[in-house]
Amino acid sequence: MNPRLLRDLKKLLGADGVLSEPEDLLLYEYDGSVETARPDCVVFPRSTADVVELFRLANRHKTPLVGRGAGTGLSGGALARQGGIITSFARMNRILAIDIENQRAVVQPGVVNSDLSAAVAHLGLHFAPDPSSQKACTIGGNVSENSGGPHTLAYGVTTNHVLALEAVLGTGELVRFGSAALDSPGYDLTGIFVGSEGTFGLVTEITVKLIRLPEAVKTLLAIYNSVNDATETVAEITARGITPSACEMLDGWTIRAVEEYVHAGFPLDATAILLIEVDGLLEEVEDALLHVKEVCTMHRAREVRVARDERERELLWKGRKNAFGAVGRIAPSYYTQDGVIPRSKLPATLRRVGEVSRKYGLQIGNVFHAGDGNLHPIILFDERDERQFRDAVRAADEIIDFCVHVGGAITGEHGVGMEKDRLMPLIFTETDLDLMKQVHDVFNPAGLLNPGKIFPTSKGCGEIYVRPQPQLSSPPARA
Amino acid sequence: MSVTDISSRLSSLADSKCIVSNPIQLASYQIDGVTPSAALRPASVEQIVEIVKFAAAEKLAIIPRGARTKFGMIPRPQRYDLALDMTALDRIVAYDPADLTLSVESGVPLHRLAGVLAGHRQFLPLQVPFFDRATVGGTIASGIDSPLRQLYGTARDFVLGMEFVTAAGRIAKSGGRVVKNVSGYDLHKLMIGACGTLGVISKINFRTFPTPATTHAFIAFFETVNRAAEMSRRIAESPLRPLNVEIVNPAAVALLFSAPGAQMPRAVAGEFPPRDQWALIIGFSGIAKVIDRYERELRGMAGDTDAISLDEEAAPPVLARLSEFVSIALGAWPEIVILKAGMLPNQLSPFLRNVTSISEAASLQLAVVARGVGVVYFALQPDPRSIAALPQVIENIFQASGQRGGHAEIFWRPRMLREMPASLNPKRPDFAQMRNLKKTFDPENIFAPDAFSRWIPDAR
Repeated sequence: MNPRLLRDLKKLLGADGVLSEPEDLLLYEYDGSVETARPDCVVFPRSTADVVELFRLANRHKTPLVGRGAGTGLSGGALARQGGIITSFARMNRILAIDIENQRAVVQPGVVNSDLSAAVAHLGLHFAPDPSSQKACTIGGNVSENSGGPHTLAYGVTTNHVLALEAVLGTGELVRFGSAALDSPGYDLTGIFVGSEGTFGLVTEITVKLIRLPEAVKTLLAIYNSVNDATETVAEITARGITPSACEMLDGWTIRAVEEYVHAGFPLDATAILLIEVDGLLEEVEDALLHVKEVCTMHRAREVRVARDERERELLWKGRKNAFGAVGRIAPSYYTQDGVIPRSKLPATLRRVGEVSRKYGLQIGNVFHAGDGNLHPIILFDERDERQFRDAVRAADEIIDFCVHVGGAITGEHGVGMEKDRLMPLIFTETDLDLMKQVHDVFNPAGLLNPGKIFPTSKGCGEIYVRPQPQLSSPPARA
Repeated sequence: MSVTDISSRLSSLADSKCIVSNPIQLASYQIDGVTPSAALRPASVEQIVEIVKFAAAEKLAIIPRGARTKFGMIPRPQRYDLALDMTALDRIVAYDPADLTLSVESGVPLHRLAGVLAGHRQFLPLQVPFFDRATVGGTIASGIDSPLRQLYGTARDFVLGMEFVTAAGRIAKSGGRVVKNVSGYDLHKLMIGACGTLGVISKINFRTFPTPATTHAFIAFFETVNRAAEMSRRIAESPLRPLNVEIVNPAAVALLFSAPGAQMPRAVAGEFPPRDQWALIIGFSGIAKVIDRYERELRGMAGDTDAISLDEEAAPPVLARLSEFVSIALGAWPEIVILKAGMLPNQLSPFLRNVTSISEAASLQLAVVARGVGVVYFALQPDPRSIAALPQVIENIFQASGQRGGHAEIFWRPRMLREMPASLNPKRPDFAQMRNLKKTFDPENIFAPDAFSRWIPDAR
């Protein structure tokens, strides 16, 4: 990379604030997705002022800047697709203020999601968005991707909990959008910013809502001999107007993978399980539990277990939240998809996933937010086998195609990033995309921030895109 | 271009059925005495496209409107060439009760939609002012909120996607029809509350909600705002999740519940409301056991003060009146100004005391409804003697809100204040982005140009 820029960066952030050796950069070629891209350097700002200056330097040298939290994202959002500088927020990880009375917190972007909830748990509060990666992922990353999680079914996704932002835009301006008090007059700039996948600005401070922890929580495990029965249970729960705080599904293959690893107590011979949680006032929870049990039984659950105590409850959730880790232990590579469908279409969609699995001869596990209709098929493949890799991508595309066909969307919580840019034309017209691009240019006119994301690089859809094969042994050369 | 020119040009491009040419009818599209050159009532999004293209080519200002209930929110228009009447776009495009999702054209009246949803025991938490007349599109475009936001949030939390016509005359959309979706930028979030300044909303997708079991209410009366706010705080710290929590000042209590036409249920008419008391109004719902729990806990928090419980018969009309505060105040008091403020919940009480003394000093009548989440509506009623002081009072209230870390804007203005900008602080930190977005969406400034000056006075 440009030696003058590197020198300036080291002058700004100190020698320990910049990584540029190839062996150091290797780690930053990856995030949670199957994509890779090598940055020219990685920097670690410590303050908003550092970020402002950082942008000035990048701009002077016309070098891309990509924000990165913990790199747990699943769509390549935190990868430097066109090279340049990765801005890690690992050192901007302080909780700046907790306002108990008003149930607000102000955090730096590098604060780990679950650390915020842990910091306010003794006050009976929590930060509601809870991605499965919450023990690692950062709130800055959550803001960029508008992350969800199991409990977003009742509590909403990140955007529903962000009140105000401070950010350095792609114009170089340091701005504040929104306010800690509700209904800031004017356009909802916070609303458009959250979920812009790092293409509008680098977030330097976030004001969030804290939510009171429920008085009572009950977690229930429903065990099925048929995937169809489980999905029909979910459709019926939705149709009856029961709103659980979470409603997750795992299929048989995933259950066995998880059980071997976590020992959550999932039955090894089951074809599907539902993990359903209800919360609220004690009286409400008891009532909701009865209704949920009734629906499960009506749809032929062979057993319905209610976690007896907090330990059992945590174990069940451990099984769910470590599902991807469990799969990682047994498969050389896997590709996690993220489609959304109307909830009544769950049974049909899961049947289609099964057909796709058989068609390509690829194992596809299912572990997902059933209550939201947010699917996460995990497609297993061996990346050393080029045909398998192509088939995995084709299988994923067929599933997404089906999701769109039944009225769904291409991503529910992982983001478009560099994974699904080419799929955007499946749901958006050229007019939609042009307007989005114009809005992009308001915030990021020179395109220096996170270039190569969200927007399809070539027009036309439907062609099969073959990803450059991930090379685990040697760093891929930059395109 | 003359009025006749516009009409004849329009008739050649649009279906003549959608042109309002009758002068009497045209007069009904007046805003503050300003009559548009033409009014159009398109019946399809394609017709909107034609109209917008024409307007853009001729640089004519378009003001979209639904049921015309909220023109008081925008300054008197200096440019108003075409009225775009959206009420013929009134179809429910798709409703999937089993998915709890809904897609409607923007001209659908709220009350009609509520009826359809009620058939499936579902609803939208848009219990907003002018409920019996307002359209879905106008409600969303105005960004007006409802007491139910305490539990359900505002439109930004349950609008899933939108279709709208851009100033270039193209049909664009964002979001989708599923409850969880991060595909592309959430352009629809910009359209909510933009007062028609960015595009013409043609279709809106919502998530719907199961109608709660029976709704009950609890009203506690207090001598001071402090004690009302204190109980509101205790509710926020409890595990209770009520539908709404509202602090209401004595004048607003009288407006809402003793005015002629209030038609309060007989059960409460005798004892309700007491004079000169602040009220804290809490709505809640659930099964019988849950209702008992709420009543027990709320009574405990209220202590020895006067309080009444309203059952499932009595509560809904009271809560409906509460949600109509803006329209009721407008109906009762001529030449009213309504301010809206956003305030941190723990600043509500001192802020309300501030505002009360500011308005008392100027001999203005003041009616207040403050949501427990920190959103306040003030209706100020000047008399002939105090009217001159009004602009200064407004400025003082703006200052008081700023000093307490909140913000305020003119929500509704009387004729005399039509020219006044909604916010007196033109140095807002996001000025540049707002202006650039407006330019991006509407380069010729044809969409409700004067409405934009609500926020940025010199933008006209």
